[in-house]
Amino acid sequence: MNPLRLPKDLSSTEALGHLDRRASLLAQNVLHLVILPTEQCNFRCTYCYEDFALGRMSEGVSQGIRRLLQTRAPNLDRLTLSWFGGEPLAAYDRVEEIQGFAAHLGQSHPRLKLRGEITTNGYLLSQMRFEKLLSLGVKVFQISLDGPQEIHDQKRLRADGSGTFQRIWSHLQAISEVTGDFEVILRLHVDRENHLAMRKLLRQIAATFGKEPRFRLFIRKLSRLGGANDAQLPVLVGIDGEKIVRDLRSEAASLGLSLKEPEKGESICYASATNSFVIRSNGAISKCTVALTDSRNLLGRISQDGSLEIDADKLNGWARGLLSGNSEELRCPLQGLPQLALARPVAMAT
Amino acid sequence: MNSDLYFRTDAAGMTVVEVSDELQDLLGRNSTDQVEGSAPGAANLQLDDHGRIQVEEVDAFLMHGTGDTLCDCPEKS
Repeated sequence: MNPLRLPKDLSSTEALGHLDRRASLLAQNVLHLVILPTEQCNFRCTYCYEDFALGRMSEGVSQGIRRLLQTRAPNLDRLTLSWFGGEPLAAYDRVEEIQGFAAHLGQSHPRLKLRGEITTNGYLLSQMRFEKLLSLGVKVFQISLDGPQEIHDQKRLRADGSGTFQRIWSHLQAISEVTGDFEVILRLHVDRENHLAMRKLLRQIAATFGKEPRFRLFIRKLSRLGGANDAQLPVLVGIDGEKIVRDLRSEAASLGLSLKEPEKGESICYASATNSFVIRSNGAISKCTVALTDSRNLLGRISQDGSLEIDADKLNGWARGLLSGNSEELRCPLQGLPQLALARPVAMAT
Repeated sequence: MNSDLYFRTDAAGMTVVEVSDELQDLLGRNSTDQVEGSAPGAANLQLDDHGRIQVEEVDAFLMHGTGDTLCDCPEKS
């Protein structure tokens, strides 16, 4: 294999035409990192698929990420940092450290557009932390609510079994008072048990945040994503389930709530992009934030000096949709991901 | 998977697109093809002299993060 030389006419090969249309997903001036500063969580949601085997990110891994960002910043036009976990705010200092470093790089390199976003359960998101993260460029906050308090507290509970709704709600109220440009995505998981009660939650959200355009609802069906309780989850199935979600979206809209609509056009997962990496708390490099224990999803490692070592064969499996143009492979490359001939469990340092 | 085109990453995580001899021959090894710069007829695709892709305009729709795409994770079968 040799470095590609571009032909005069890209239509001479179908795969190059596909690459041309999605060049942003390979481009060197774009970088997307999903960072897991810890894989521990203060919650034990009934449907969670994570195993909490890994702990907090070490100083060496954090330093590696910062060195990688420093190396890449001069040639980046777009840098997206997506904070994920575990519960990322359980390692808040790591988030602030790396996000702050990226924000500083953004000031030194005006061409670089930084976007920060965080998927958090909201329990540790005090107004002070929110304002600090916002000042460092975190603009999108995704927080889940699974019903009014009496329902939510049965599904999204703390590790000690206690409820979480009231504290999250008070944080949301405080956040709504903050001035600035940000988006809070309230993610509502709908299932057979909570879909009727969801209407009460919608009214509660409308009464409290109804005039807040920065708060948007993302209503979706609960999914089985590989957790220990998958078989018992009361997921919605079939067209009845689709109708329930559709009706809840309609009701939310009729209450004047802002809805996060599904992406228009083709949906492409970040795992399909060759310039998107998941950096786990132990420095392992993955592509997908769901299949965390799948050996195909352990591609390599980031070193303390910021260099990345990535298994190209595995990368090509995840990115195969870029060459095939197949919309299903682009939407979720995990589905139908080729088995590797020598696939074996990868030893994970803790 | 496509066996004529192959992705690898360098130490800084930048993608290098590699091509098989057969496909490069088909594309025209000795014509005016370029390893650097944009290809005529290409809307976005440009390569630097290391075979790494550069885009002029980052497609906002294509580059989003977990806030958008994690929402759409299908059930594991």
